[in-house]
Amino acid sequence: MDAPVNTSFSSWVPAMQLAWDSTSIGLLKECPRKYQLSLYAGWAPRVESVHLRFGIEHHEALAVYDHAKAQGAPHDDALDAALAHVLRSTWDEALGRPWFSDHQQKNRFTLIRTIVWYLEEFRDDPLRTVRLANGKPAVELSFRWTSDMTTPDGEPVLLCGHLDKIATGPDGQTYIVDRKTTGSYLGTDYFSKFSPDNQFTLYSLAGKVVYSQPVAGLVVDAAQIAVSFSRFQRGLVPRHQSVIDEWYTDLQIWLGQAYEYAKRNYWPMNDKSCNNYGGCPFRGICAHAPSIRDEWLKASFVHRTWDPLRVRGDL
Amino acid sequence: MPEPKQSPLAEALVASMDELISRDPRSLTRQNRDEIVAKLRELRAIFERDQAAGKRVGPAKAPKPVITPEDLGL
Repeated sequence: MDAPVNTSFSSWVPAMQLAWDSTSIGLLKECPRKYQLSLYAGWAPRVESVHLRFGIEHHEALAVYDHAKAQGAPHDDALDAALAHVLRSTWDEALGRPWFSDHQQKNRFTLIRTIVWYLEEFRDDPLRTVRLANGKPAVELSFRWTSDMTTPDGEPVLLCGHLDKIATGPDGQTYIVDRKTTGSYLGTDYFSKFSPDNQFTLYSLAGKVVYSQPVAGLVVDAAQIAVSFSRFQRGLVPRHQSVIDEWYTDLQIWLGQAYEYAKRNYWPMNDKSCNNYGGCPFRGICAHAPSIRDEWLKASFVHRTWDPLRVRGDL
Repeated sequence: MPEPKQSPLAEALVASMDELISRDPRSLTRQNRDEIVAKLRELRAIFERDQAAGKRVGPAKAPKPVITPEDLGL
């Protein structure tokens, strides 16, 4: 558990992360111990999260559609490309059978239905995907920049992440589009949870810093997945510059704390977060005496590296 | 709140799609995939018809967000 698990960590203070994405920052804010176990030590539940798998498959299929459209394919052909992709990517070659999920709302059928219905809903989307200088569509884009923050040892801190899509609206303005899937009802409450929100404030900041054109805002394309239907709602997530500035000030304090934890190689537990989001996967581990936690981790978790510097597209 | 059951027509559509999407995707032709898309379009039309007719298809219709994309013509 002592070695740095990926390239985003310092070689000077091995437990100090230098490249931060919204997942890493979010985990640190939620619970430093959860951050340590999942990001630094790289432990992940042995059983794949159906929500994570569903979200990844959904994103990838829509990116296939966007790429096909950017190459001039008509809607039906681009839709077919997305469908062919998701049928293949959810097929288990080794077992010769489809991906199995016993989740009532998130399974292979509802995934395929959601992708096709979403693409039908936004067939004539007023949000046009931006085309990059290299001719590729601005989808699944990795971003990173060196912030003005450094560790006390003088190592620069990078901020990074991945944007689903950059698009131009009919008003000629540029928007960052983020696609979400949820089992929740899509009402005011659903969209209001993104303000404040760590991920979207970082994305708003990234849009301003990294992208060559001013970004007018963030658009959330939400898909509500139910057993018998999928429903879509598009919402705007505004971010005033002063809110972004405040988030950045807070981040400097959070990362200062992370440095102190890394130096001591001790990450305190926030036991008020254990029951959030349906319960922390490490709750059972933290419930055991510290001396036997490693054995429990080895028995119920696997190693998986979350490297925020892994690039997806071009920006 | 439990979801209401699908109409028999919708259930029949889902059942007929099951056979297609359970096949090895390498054996599916474009025509097979077009058939899947056609069935899903039909299923969506049923859902939208039911919704328009006021049949409960899940929770009440979602209220608009405070700032709507329409405000910006999106």
